[in-house]
Amino acid sequence: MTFEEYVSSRGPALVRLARLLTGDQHRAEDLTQDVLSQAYVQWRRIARADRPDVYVRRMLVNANISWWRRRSNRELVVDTFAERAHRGDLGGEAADRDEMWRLILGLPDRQRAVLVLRYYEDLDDSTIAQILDCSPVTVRTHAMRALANLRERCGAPATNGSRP
Amino acid sequence: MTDLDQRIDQTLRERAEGGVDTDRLLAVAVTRGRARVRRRRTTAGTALGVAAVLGLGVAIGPGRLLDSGPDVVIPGLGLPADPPVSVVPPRADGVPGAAARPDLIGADPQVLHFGFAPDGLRYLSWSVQNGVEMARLDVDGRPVTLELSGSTEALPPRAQGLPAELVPDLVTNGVFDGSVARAKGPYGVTVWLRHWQPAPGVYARASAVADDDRDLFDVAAALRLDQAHRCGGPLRLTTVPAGARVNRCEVTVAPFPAAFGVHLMVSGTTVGAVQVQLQYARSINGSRPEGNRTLGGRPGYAAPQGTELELLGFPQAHLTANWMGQGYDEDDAATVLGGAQVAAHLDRPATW
Repeated sequence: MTFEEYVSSRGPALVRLARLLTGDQHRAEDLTQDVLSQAYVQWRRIARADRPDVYVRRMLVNANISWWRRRSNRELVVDTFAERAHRGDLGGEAADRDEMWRLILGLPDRQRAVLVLRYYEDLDDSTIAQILDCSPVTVRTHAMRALANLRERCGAPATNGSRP
Repeated sequence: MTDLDQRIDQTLRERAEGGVDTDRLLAVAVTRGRARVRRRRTTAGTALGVAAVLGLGVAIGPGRLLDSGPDVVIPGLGLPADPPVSVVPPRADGVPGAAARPDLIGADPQVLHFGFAPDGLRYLSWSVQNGVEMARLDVDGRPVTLELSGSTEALPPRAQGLPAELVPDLVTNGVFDGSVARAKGPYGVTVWLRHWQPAPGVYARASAVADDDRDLFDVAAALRLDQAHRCGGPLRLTTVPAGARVNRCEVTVAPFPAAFGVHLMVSGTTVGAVQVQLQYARSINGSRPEGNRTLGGRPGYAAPQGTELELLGFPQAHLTANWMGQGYDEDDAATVLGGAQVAAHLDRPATW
């Protein structure tokens, strides 16, 4: 698979993943372009990998976390989203999802990444562990903490039915 | 799945939505990538020069300096070398256009209920999703996005290709009177937006990043609502899992004749979906020699990771189906690919 083929086929999915990781449309595209430009340089090696997409998604997750570390300004963005939630004239379900999105954005980077990879990308824990470069046990720990955090803040009942 | 699981799932899917400009993504990635390669070469050359000045022993194999490292390569095609060729979605014979049946706009993601005057604008991409039919066009080198809907509700919160934060500032809910709004976008650009009703019951929005609003009116003048086109282009899905339907279609033809892509999403009442992608590129040479599945009587291949099937036998193209979320599995992907019909000559859009 050439680099062009990869971007043409997987580029949109990467941008959508970046939107969830960053919470910002512009930065999502910029982050994806930056990561793909890095992948371009290393493409021969990446294309030889068993699962190139895992490798590129790992680059994307790490790039997002590095961005936050460099700027340490996540509170600013969360505040922006909090303000926006009250600005519109949202219906019940839309308001509920807006609130949920605000809470997801407020999670620590790795917890949010686990939720996105698990719920949106529907990846299993071992693949998520490969992407995050950690163990499946750590993935489950991040997921449990993220879900507990969301349950506590949005008032959802602490049932055992959620994906562990 | 608990209520919390569902809320998370729905929230993430909603927030991830929106069009993606694949050709721009590729162009910028390649441009930045090449700049990185140049920087690395410069750095490597400088380091070796310093080493030589200092009298250090540096052994360089033949061509090593030029290659500047094992990972630095210039991949494949780069950007298309040939001039782009105009591709028009194939006609959907017997299907009324938006003017005759505005209630059908966006109702079937496999059909676009509009077109454009011939020999005018060049399509970059088109899509149908969430009740909105969209075309992105090249107007003398500038991209313009046109969206059509059969209701005012579908359009205001979604302006594809535009920064989300700009839209509330530009849109006056429910007013499609032909007026033009503008706002300052990121990086100092000016974003133009026009809402109008090209026919009773048809709501249109055109948007562009440009110096003035001329392109918006050019697109409006070329718009034709007396015709319909097949969104999937060379790809048709004739079978879907029980209770599911095609609910999203996106086609990018901007890089044609070098490449194009078709993306269809099949889903039903459950949370998951089957994503079907047809990826054509002239740089694709050869395919998997052998399949390990049979899909509708044709050879297929199941990827080792267990979430993707490929229907084999298309020169210079890959047709794949990925399943994600609860409720869909390999059997569903096999059903979808088993009924997939692909045009014989992917490199000749007139035959689609």
